[in-house]
Amino acid sequence: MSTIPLTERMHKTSTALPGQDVAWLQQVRETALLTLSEKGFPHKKHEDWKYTDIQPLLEQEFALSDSACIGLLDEDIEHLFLSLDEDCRIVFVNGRFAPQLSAFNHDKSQFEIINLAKVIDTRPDLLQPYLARYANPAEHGFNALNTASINDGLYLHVFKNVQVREPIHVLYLTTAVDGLLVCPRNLILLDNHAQATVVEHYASLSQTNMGHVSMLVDAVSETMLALGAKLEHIKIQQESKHTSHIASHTVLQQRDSHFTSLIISTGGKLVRSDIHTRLVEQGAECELNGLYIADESQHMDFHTFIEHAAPACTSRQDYRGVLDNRSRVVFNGRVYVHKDAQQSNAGQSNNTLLLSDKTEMDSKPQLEIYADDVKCSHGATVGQLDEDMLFYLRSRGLDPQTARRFLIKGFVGQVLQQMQNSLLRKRIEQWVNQRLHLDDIQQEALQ
Amino acid sequence: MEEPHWASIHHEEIDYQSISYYSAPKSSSGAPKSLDEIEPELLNTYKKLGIPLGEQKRLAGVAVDAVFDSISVATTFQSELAELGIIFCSFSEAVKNHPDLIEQYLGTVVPYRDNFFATLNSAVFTDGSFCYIPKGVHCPMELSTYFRINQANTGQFERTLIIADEGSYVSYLEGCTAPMRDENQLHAAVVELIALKDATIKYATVQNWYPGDKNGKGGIYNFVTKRGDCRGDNSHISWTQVETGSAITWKYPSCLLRGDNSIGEFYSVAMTANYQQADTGTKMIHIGKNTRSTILSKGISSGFGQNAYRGLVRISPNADRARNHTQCDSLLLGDRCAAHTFPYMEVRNHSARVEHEATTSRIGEDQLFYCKQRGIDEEEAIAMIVNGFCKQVLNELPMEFAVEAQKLLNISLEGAIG
Repeated sequence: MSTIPLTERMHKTSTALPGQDVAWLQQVRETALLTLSEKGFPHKKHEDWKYTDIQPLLEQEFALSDSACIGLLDEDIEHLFLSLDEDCRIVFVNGRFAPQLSAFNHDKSQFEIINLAKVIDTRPDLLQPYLARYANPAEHGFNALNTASINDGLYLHVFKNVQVREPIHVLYLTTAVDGLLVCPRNLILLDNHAQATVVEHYASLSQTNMGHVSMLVDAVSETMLALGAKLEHIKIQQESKHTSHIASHTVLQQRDSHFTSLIISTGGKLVRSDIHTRLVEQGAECELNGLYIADESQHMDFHTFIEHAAPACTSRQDYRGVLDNRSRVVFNGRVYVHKDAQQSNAGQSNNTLLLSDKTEMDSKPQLEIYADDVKCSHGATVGQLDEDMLFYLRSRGLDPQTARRFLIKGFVGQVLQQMQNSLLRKRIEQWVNQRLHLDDIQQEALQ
Repeated sequence: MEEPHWASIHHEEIDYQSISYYSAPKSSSGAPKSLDEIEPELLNTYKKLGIPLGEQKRLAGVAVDAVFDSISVATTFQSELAELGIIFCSFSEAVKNHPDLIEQYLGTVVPYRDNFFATLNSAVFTDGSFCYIPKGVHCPMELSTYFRINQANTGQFERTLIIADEGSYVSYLEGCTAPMRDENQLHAAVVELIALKDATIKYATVQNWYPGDKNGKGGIYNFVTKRGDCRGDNSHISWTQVETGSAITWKYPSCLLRGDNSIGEFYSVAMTANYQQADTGTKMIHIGKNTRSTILSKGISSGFGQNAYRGLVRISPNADRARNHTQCDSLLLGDRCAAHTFPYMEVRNHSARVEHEATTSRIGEDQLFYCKQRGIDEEEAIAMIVNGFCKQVLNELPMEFAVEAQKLLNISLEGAIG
């Protein structure tokens, strides 16, 4: 039922993929396809998929869309902009680049941003040293599926010593098409001492009830940070509850580079987010943060994997979230310190609030340490709102409902506060508060 | 069934055909009467440690059941215990004298198909210890079992079953040793604890099986299944373990917290030196309401030692207001050893509260400097720091054994620091 028909379909669609004449790319796709047909998709017996059952997903039919983008206007997607005068925005609709919705008003001498399909067609040599060099298709079937069908996505190259101030907005939209498969492929390259903020944004248009429509987004991102480069990567995942979202991000960090990731997941039906950071040279630092807000029967699964492969690297992780109704969230954080990675410093924390008695949280923080001069720690908590704190707020005259909302706001706020750009932070806070129905809290409470 | 390979341990394939599954001491008719007759080697080691054994046990007030290879050779204090209605004897005697109890409880905590090694044990076990504490009885002395593997190429597959009836209390200690052998020997035991309403069982292990030599040759493979069942309300099971021996330790003493308000505890020190490997931890399965569990695990790795904590805390949907606190700390001595933590937390009840913390580090230069500056040499300073690191766990042991465990740690540390 599962893998064979899909790979057959892949063969059929592969004629429509860009870069048919690029030998190395075809090679990459074919190897991935072979891996997929040999290994198939993961199942619950795989330790990494223990808590996430994708069987129901595999029983549905999905195909890449070949329809060109439909007639959308700026007004239709305005509510998803980071600000009305965005400097740089690249928009994809159902996996296809949408030039009429994108905006490139940035200083062209600072960085180059193009859709991947175009780079494949015009300058494939640019991609050869990087594309599919970091993300491993053998990791799991979805990674292989994406690699076998590399078509479009983001290509971003920030030049040496450039500090990009405005956030670069990468917007992936899906419209309601049953059986739609979208395989975004992103490549982010930062040269020596370059700095940038990238917002990878997944959203659906028309959130209204559409019956049994079902879509799958299978994204793979690769990032290379050169000496002293600094990237703030924010992923906002707010798709409709008809969309399943499976994504992985592999990051290679060279000497003294700095990577901050914030994953905000509020939407989707089944969500899986992997992030793999490799600290391969001295002094590299990474911070992986996450915020999950799940309700109804949403299922979210977050995997982080930080490899300390060189001495004197630092990593921090803070994943937290709020679960309501029958939702279920999985967190699996793994820190691996290689033999010679002395003076590694790794900290990890995972905190979850459970608001309903039908929720489930599975947390699995792991440390694997093969060096001795290290400082590593992890902590995890799962619980409900603190009675004492509620009592305190109520003794100050807040009603129970408002007191609860205040505490939730404070809890999620801790991770949002870490965003550098204050305008961006406000915009994202607004979305999060809307999702948690907290947007009117200020006016009400602070009278 | 197939042998599992998920643990983070490495060993050569075990040839199950080459193991002797039964071995009895040679003079079966004249079974030794006292402990110092049967274990001179052991006694010497322990004399060095200053541990009361044999006749000295009598003074210390400890009842001992000694299991030698496959059969139980001596049980002391049986009559004194019988006056209180406590049954403490070898498993084979229990089968003869109390078949009803065995039938009622054996295999109810660890079913024979539980895991590969439990199945192996269930198929071949010949002896072990059995203990039953009747209703309302507070066992006045520490009960203790000594396990020893003596014959070469012998596997030991003993079975321990402890039942604490309503309102009773028992504290139980097991010790393990084996002489040096070049080949690896297999130890696959099963321990089942059953605590009924208001009962308390404290189970302590000081494991000092032969760990293999400096190059990792020989040593015991210690693949043990231990599980306690808090069957009644307000019951309490506490596991304490000090693991310094064995080439490979692979065990997860667990608690099924079925009764409301029941309590599970796990205190562990695992020390790996040379090429020793330990993959150990616990499972706390919260089923009843208001159940509480505490996990405190301390791992010390030195040389090429591998040390892993692997634990599961599961809160079932009905376990309202369940509470867990887990702490696992690792200490690394030397740059070729490794420490891992793999905790699993599965929470299905929103009123539960689960906390986990873990740290890994080596001994700070400043700590060492402080000690040296006070005239304490490096080796002694490290021993002091390691003992301080383990203190919370050692405090859970009965007093005399806490002293024993501390000395054992020091012996394992000898030469481990370079």
